[in-house]
Amino acid sequence: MKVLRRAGVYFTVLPFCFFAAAPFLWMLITTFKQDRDLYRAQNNPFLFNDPPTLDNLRLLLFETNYLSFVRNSAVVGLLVVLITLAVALPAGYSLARLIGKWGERAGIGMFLVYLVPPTLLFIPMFRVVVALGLKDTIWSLVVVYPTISIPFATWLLMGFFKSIPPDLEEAAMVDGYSRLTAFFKVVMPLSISGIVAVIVFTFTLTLHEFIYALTFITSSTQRTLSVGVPIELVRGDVFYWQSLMAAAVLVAIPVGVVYSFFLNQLVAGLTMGAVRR
Amino acid sequence: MSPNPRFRYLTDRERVLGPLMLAPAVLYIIGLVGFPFLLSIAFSLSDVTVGDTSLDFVGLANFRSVIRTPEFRRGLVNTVFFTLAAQLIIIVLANILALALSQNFRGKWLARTLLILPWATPVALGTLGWLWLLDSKFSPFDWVLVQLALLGPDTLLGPSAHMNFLAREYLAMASVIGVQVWRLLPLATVILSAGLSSIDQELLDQAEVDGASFWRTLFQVKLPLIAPIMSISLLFSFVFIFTDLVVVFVLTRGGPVYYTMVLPVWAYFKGISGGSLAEGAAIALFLFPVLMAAAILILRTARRMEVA
Amino acid sequence: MAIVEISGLKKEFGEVPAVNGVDLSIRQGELLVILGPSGCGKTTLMRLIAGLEQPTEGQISIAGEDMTDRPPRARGVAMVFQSYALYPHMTVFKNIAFPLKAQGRFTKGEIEEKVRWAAGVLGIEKLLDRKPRQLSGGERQRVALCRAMVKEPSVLLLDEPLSNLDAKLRASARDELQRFQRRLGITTIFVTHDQIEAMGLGDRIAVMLAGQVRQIGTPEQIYHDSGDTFVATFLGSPGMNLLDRGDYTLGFRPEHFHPKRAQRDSTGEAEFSYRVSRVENLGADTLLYGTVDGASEEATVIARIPSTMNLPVNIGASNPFVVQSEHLRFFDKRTGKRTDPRPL
Repeated sequence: MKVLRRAGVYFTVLPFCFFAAAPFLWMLITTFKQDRDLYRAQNNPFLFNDPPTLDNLRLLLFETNYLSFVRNSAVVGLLVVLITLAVALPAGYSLARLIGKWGERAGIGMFLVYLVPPTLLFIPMFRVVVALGLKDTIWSLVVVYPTISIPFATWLLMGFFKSIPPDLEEAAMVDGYSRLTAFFKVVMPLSISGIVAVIVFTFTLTLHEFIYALTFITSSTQRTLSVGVPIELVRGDVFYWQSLMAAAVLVAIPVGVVYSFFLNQLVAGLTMGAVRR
Repeated sequence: MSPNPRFRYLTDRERVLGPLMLAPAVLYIIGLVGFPFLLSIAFSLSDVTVGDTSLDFVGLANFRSVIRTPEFRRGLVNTVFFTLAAQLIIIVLANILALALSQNFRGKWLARTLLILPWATPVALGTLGWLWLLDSKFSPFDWVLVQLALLGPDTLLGPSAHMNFLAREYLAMASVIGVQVWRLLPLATVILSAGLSSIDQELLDQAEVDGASFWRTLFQVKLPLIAPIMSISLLFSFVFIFTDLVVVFVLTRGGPVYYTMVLPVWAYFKGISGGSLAEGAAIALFLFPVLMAAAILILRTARRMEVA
Repeated sequence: MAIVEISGLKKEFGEVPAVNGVDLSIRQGELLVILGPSGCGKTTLMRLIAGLEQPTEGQISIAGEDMTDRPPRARGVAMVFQSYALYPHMTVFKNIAFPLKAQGRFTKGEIEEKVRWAAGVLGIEKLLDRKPRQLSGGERQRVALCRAMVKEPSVLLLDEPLSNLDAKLRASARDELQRFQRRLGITTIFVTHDQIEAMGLGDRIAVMLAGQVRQIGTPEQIYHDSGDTFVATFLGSPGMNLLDRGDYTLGFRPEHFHPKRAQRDSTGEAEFSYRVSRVENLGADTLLYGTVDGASEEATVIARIPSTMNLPVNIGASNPFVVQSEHLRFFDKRTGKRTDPRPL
């Protein structure tokens, strides 16, 4: 019976793994294909019919602004994560402990704000960015992205803090700490998985975000990965396919591996924040 | 160990501390979400364009003019249809996958890493990958189908040697839905895994002793208990697909013709590419009521289903 | 006639043996209590009997059939967990009906009949439409019991079902549970760490430590004829006093340790010089804490004196105390096992 169940699990999981990862494998192969191998419809796309080449990688890394894109995305990601944590941690705690009945409603309100999509706001937001003098800089994104991440982060952290028994902070306050210090010394260390969840979600958000990045930034060197790659590597009608595939794979694999290390924390953070209340 | 006397009173006064800790978040949101939102409404009721920045009130004229275009009509239908179809597929697949992943097996770490890849890469880049996978001339799918003699002259799917996924109306729509499923399945699975792992093991042991078979335990114990978290996952995927611009923008640009157009893309084309900011804002605003309604509905159902 | 036969049962988790060689024979209709401190393996033993764990070695048979390889639902057992494990999203009725539906061989009408009958036995008919979160602790316990008995199992397994109840409620719950078991005559295995509960409920008690059964017998047997120092000190509140006597260990229970009375015949008594350091007046009894001259200084010896007895005791000074020789117990110093009496 157990063997059957084990086989059933593999039988189920394998197709999903294939569905998720096969495109990347194929993209990886494409990266190293020569033009004349790639652009022949009769050729087997999964094999190297002509020897593999590093030319496409070289083109991507040295003849485009790809590395600038990576740098920009990394900087924006880091800064937005920091801003989000700095704002959402106290806000989440405040809603969980200090605001009482209002807290529940404000929490829902937060979550609903999260649902106001960039696709709705990007036009007026563009005007705001221009007015602030941030047009065509990555700072426009650093300022605007938290509007998407903060509501969600606050909601998640609020749920997370609520699931920690108040006894611990109360004990700390009896010991002589103020509420704020108790928050830093007692609650934060216990909230690692919640913080990890917020970091992962926020970083994902900044990495993937497209429309604000497309609208606010026009100079190539200032672009982020998400927009820079499709725009730069498609010159008119010409798609530099191999380099495009390389660009995708180069991001996916390290980020994917890092995420998989934190998957347990992520699930724990989500469980505490969103499930148990 | 004694507290800093200077701050003692401020940080002890919870009436002050609470709002103080909440203030940055609230200000941020009011300033950078609330204000642009109101501006959006203002734009939609005006004649503002990229060139002419003055806001002259025109009432509902923009709304009336945008509704008339076929791109808008199709866009509205598609936005709803793509969302519902993709969501349905996602929720079923994510449940199956999360259940399978709740077992321990060798190679689980590798499986999880592979499964999370679509979420790890920016949507735009992943979609570009699919753009090439579905290319009209060089798609590997075409090649495989030709090898299997299902494509080409005198075959089932022939006579062309190319499927032309993105140039045929229904195939293009299916492709858009497929890519949405591909990129959101990891997230949905993670959320459902969280729900499954939070089920008290003792309840499952009790079901086992009570004699419940695998299917009975699944449908009568597990699924009802993760219903609240499932609705959260549904909400996320609903929002992410309903308001998504990237997949359609990169994959089809709304084509062929306008058959895969969705409202966010149309809003961009009209507002930014076309320069008519007012009309763009009007189109985008159509998303809002549906989004709010769906959100409130799902949150209410989740609340009612909470059992503890 | 034995309804549950366990032989040579072992369960290892990695290197650690949770159950380390257990043999048990449980008779039809008896209420067997498995008693032991936390970590002794009693819960693992119960889960093995239920089929939630597979043994590393050994055999389990129920009602004459070998169940070692069978899953829980093929064993005809019912189990109540410490947390009661009521399905929170189902009504009480649905909770109780669940095991019947799982068997798949009853019609809707039959299920309804059985559920109502079981609910009647436990007095919870009025609760059938409620959800678990609307019930009190005692009510939940009854629902859990109801769900267990509705499928008329061969064996009922109870894992510390009374620990979640208020102390006052526990005594009456114990009483009800025993009457319930007698009335239905179901063979019951009851796991607990509370020795008062064990003594009050069990037909027989199996005392466990470190994965093994140290002694099995009636409450009287294991109390008055404790097989080793562990059982002797685990049972009784407080447990048996133990004194190191060089090459053996001497034991006697606090209630047998009394002040010497001048006029009594002192043959058949062992006398000790008892220095009392503390007195606890518990109402019906008084406990004295002190040390015995001639024994190690750290060994606290406790005496339990009923309030009906006169108490001419000087705190801080030495008093002559005696134990009747029939109440003395002798244990091997090395193994802790009970030995024959020795001259003092």
